[in-house]
Amino acid sequence: MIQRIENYQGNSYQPIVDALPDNIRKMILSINPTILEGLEEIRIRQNRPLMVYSRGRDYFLCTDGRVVTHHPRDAYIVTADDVRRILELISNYSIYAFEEELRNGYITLQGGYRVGISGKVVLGKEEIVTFQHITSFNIRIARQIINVANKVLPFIIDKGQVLHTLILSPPQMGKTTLLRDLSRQLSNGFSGFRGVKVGIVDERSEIAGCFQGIPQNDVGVRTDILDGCPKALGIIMLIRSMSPNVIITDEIGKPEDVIAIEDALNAGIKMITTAHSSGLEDAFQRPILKSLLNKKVFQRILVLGNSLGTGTLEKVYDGTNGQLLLNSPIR
Amino acid sequence: MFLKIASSIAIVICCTLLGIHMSYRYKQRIYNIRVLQSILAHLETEIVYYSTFLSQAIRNSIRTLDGDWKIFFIEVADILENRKEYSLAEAWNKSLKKIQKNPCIGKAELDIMYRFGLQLGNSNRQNQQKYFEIAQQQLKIEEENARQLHLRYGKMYRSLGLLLGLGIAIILF
Repeated sequence: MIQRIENYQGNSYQPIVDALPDNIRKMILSINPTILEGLEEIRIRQNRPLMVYSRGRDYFLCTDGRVVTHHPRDAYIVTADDVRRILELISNYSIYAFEEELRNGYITLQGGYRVGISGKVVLGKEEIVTFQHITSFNIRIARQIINVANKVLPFIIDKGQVLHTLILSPPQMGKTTLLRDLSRQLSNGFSGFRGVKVGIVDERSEIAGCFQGIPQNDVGVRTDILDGCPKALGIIMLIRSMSPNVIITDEIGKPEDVIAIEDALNAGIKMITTAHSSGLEDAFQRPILKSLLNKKVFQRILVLGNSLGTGTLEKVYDGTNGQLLLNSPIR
Repeated sequence: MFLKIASSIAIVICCTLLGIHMSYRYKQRIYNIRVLQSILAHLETEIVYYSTFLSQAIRNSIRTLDGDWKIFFIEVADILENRKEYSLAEAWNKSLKKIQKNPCIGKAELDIMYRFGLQLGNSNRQNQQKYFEIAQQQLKIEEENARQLHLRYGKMYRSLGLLLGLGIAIILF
């Protein structure tokens, strides 16, 4: 048992272990190794049972560290004191340092792990000011998958040039994981392709997982990151100051994003971005995406899905003429 | 005779030193309040303008300063960095207890810092700035009070020490 804790703490999950109070930390570290290794989320809700989500299933944790799939009588009930301690630990006793992130409902830990937060929000005139009572945490254990972009690269590089690319995908299909590896490979370079300068506008700290401005995921040696910056502002800032060859952003959807993307194209910078959509037909139903697609701004449109498992590349279109370049899914 | 003179001189010197020591406590308290104001001003900058994490903000704020409050802040930063059993409020109070018997720190400053510790770190920068302002205002009042006490009792203890020494020496003579 002691050996397992040491092994577990020795790896990169240390920031998550550090974010938990002693009692919960001991319970998490004493759960079945199979479940522990596949851990995706730790769900902490005040006055409700402590739960973990592993390999697509959720489990209740008992006070003795047992993990069961049904709600047991002796499930550990999260106390108000646990919640207060977790908030102190994940914020390093410094709520003021996470003002903007709290407004967006999360805190990023060292290592790029994200803790989702919910509770009672305080509203200003037009936006969320802060949280008055924080009562739930979702500690997400994100994993970087190296080389996941290998299947995509042949479609988005033509004669040594990166093409303007839009990735369409429903949520939880691996968009951000793909973007992260694309950034790494385009920035570092690979056989037959010299690395280029990449700029990431990481509005929600998801792509690079920055902690105090330093990327916690490998996004490449030639990559500059604007962390926590709105996409439209960030794209303009990168164009003006960092001379990137490629700009990568996640989840476009606002009218100002379109204007910023057009500015980048006019500056000769290649854009790789994503949008929530189940496919090309669905994208045409959305006004913002429709305007971009009608302008034939993107040279490649990739569609992700899960027909062969999460992260399957379902289809690839030539954005300029609508021609289908990949018909059968690959993973 | 010689012994009497020598012991009388020794008594006068000891009592005078005792008086000076008592007077020094009042002077040192003013110095400690000024250092504390300075530490809080640095800490405010670190928190409000740089959003530095609290333990690092504390370390940055005390780097160039000394005085009795420095011990307190080092203790708080150490506890926070160990991230063990203590909450911020517990770490703060535990560290306050360590310096509460220091004769050069007044109860009023301890109370101000106790109340300040309950609010530190747990709200946005705008609110934190208000708590710093309140603490600074209260410390300014205490600095003035300490100065008055020093004027009133500082000289008195110095004179009393000398007079007490002379008094005892005369009685013994």
